[in-house]
Amino acid sequence: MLLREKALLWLKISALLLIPVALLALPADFFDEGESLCPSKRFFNVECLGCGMTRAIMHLLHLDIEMALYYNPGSLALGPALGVVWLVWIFRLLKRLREK
Amino acid sequence: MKFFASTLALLLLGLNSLLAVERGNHSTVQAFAHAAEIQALTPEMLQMGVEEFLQLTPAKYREMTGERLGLKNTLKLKAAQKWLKKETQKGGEGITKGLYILLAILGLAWIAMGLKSDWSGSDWVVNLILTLLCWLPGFIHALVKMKDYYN
Repeated sequence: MLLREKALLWLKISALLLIPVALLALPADFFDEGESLCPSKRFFNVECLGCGMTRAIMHLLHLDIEMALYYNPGSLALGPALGVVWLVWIFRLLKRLREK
Repeated sequence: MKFFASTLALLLLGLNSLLAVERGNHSTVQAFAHAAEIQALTPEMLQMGVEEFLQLTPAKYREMTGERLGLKNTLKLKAAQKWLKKETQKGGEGITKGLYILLAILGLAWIAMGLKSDWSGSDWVVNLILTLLCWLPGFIHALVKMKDYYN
């Protein structure tokens, strides 16, 4: 049981570490093309506060601040906050792993 | 019934072509230079076609001119694009606000929306579906969307 829990924790940590690396490996404009998935934009043609956030965060991750600002100015606040939450998440999982 | 449908189709086609001619007069961004949002743009942007300008991003601008747009100008570009998009969507000058409301009351707001948006976008389809759901949802939707077509 303990081994299974440990394996699961390692899996989570690996995923959390790999996701940003994978996003960094992809080109910054990877999500730029294509239709919006936001229901507000699709059905009512009204952009919500989160519209463009994926593209903006992707550009922010590649340190293209201009494009991040263009797609969603809120990304400049949300991006760093997400980074902090991401790190805290990883450290908590590592702490739990050490306690096992 | 058939006569009514064909008359309506002819009427819509006629109105549509009239609006297309009207819209063709604003081919470059320069034509909208009276607005403060457009005046804030760089000269290169003012020479652009409306469609081309609406597709412009800071990355494309960098490719075009070799210069960075800068954070302040990026915000200005975004504001101008938003304004211009709204302005070009307005179309259908023949439909006044009063007529729009009257059509909405009669459950025909989708026609007004279609003419206003040149039958592009999903507004009119959504309104038609909502109107078919016993009028009221369509009427509310028409009133909510009215701000997109009129100041």
